[in-house]
Order: sequence, then structure tokens, then C-alpha cells
Amino acid sequence: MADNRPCRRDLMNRINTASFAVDDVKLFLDTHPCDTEALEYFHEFQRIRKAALKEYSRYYGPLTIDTADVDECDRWNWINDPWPWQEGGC
Amino acid sequence: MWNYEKRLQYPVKITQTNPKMAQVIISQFGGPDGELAASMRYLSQRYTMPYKEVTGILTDIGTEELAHMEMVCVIVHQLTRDLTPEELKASGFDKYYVDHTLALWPQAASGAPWTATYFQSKGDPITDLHEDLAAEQKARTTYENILRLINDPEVADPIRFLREREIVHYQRFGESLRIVQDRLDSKNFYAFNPEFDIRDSGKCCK
Amino acid sequence: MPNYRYNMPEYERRNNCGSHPQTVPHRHYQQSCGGARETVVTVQSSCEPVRNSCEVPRRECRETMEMSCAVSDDYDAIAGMPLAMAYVPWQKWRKIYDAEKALCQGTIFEELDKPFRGVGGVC
Repeated sequence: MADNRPCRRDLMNRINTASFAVDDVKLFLDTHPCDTEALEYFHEFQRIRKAALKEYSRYYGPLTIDTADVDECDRWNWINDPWPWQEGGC
Repeated sequence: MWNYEKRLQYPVKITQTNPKMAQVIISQFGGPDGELAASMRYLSQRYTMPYKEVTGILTDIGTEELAHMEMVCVIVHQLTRDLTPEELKASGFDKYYVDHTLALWPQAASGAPWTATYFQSKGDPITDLHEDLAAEQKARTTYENILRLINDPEVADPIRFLREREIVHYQRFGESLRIVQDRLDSKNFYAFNPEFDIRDSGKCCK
Repeated sequence: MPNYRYNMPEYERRNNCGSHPQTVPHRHYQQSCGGARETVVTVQSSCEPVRNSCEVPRRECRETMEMSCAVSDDYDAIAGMPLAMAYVPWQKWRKIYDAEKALCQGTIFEELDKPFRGVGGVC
């Protein structure tokens, strides 16, 4: 179908990559709470992650409850397939 | 409290079923050194941990282990999807199937059900962190044992990822132990338990 | 009688006499000679000879003692740290992988990336 929406796979890859960076630096910051380089790294990837999650939700439905925007939708799409273990899920 | 994200920390895409491998891999769900035990261990220990960095680590790693538990369940699920009765009988997975059909249930590869006896939450920071260091190594070894048994790269890929996370967690628990050491008297780390005693009471002879 | 207890691992060899397992008993081993139970004297220094009531050839011990003392002294990367405790080195922020590679490897830290290279199965 012809549309301008971003590729779902690409968006999901961006979310996974940025989120993993956040996950790993988060643990480092727990034991190194004053490390300024780690804090900068966290901020950068947190920003990318939030933007990607919001964009994903706009085109493909929410991945988090915080990005579930009921106003834009006429039904509760949080429960929609695919769930992560299904075909097409990640 | 906990939120959920509708994605896996690392993708799992297995196209070929293999119930024999599923029977082995399920140990990382409900087995003694699996992700459920790891998560419950860390999340249980954190309430009385007196040092905020360590509380943070226990919370965050405990949460990450739930995500890993999910990945292991997805691996087992994809390895056993749509099996026929003939395949179930031939693989020996029929023993699990009779009690659970194809649903996930936390047990070890041996069939032993998951139990809280798989972990300890001792209420002493030094003790608990040593338990945690050991747990990460046991999980790593289990993943390596699994890798030796696997022939399918689609299965090996997420297993490799999970194994590497154990090594990272080990480093963080090691740093947590260093933090605890820094807060105690290095002349005698064992003078008192900072989770319970207010201080070294001085009642006992030195 | 030599048995598995005489097979000393590397760290003990560095601090103990006897690369030859049969010449010198382990310093803490309760040795019985000819049926009677005799206690091996525990030594203070790793290079002092061990006395016991069993005949032990000493020359070989002294030679191996000197060799192992020369090698073993001052080798302890964490000398000076309080005893009866475990220490994991403190990681510094450096050698960060590119984010895509990090996800593949399972960590953003190159220094924590320790792949499995065991035999069998699939890499």
C-alpha cells in the first residue's frame, strides 16, 4: 500500500537498539551515578527511544501504556496483535 | 511498580520446531539457575538493602531478568508451536504436554517444578551479593551448556545474547559489593550486619 | 602415600615447596606414617622446610623451594586488600560500541564482551 509511513521493521530496530543502550547504561549508572559521560550517553539514547516509541505508536499501535493515545483512535488498540511472541511480533 | 512493553529486549524468530531442545531450554525459565529464580532473588533482596546504588541494581537487574524470562518462554513456545501428537510422542515432550498441553509452566529440564528454594534472600548485603554473583555465573554456565547442544543458529542467537547479559550483571554485582565494602570498616567487614544491626554494638570483645 | 591431595594446584605450588608431589606433604595435611597419626607442623613461611616424623628427602625440597620462592614472591595483583573478601575490579566508562553492534553483542561495553568459544554446537 502506498503510504508515507516509516517501515515498521526499521522503527522497531531503532527502538530495540536505543532501548538496549538505555538498559545497559542504566545499570552502569546505578553503580556509577556521577559519571558525566554515561549520563550524556543516557540522555541521548533516551531521547531517541522516546521519539521512536511515539512514532511507532502513531502508525502501528502502542508498545507502552504511556504511548497509548486513545484520543487518536476509536478503540482500545493496546490488545491488538501481534504480541511479541507471535508472527510479525518482535 | 512494573510497566510492560510489547516487545522483546532482543528478537526471537525461530522457524523450525524442536521439542527436544525446548525440553532443555525450559530450565532457563523454571530451573534452579533460570531467569525466574534470578528475578525473584534480586527483587526479594532489595527491600532491606541499605545502600541506594545496590537497591537500584537489584531493582533494575531483577526487572531485566523478567524480560529475559519472557525471551526464554518465547523460545520454548516457538520450538513447540503446533506440534502434532506424533511429534510429541517421538520427542518425549509428551510427558510435559499431558499436564500442560503447549502452555508454558515453570519447571526445570528434569521436570522438577520451580521453587523458591532455588534462591536465597539472606538479609545481609555481603551474603546476598555473593549469592547474586554466583547466580550470574551459574546462569552463564547453563547457557553455555545449552549452546553446546544447539544446532540451529536461530536458537543460538538469542541464547548467546542472554549469556552475555549474565556477564554484565556479574560485573555490576561485583561493583555493588565494592560499594558495600566502602561503607563498612575494612578492618572487619563482618563486625555487624548493616541491614539489621544499627552499628557495631561494642558489646562483644574485639 | 601419594594420593590426590598431593596434586597441588598452581597457586599452592607458587607458595609451597614441591613441584614434585611426592617429596613434601601438603602443609596442612595430617599424615599418618606406619599407622600412627602424626601431625605435620604448619609452617609460617612458604619457604621453610616442613618437619614431620616421616622421612622426607630434603635436598629436592630445598631446590624446588628456592625456585618457587624466587618465582612466587610479590605476585599478587591485589596485595594489600583486606583479607577474607572478594573484589571485582571497578569498570571505567570507555570503549563503547556503536549502538547496533552493542545490541548484537549483548553489551555496549567492549571490555565486557566475552563470547563463548566452547566446542560443539553452534557459535
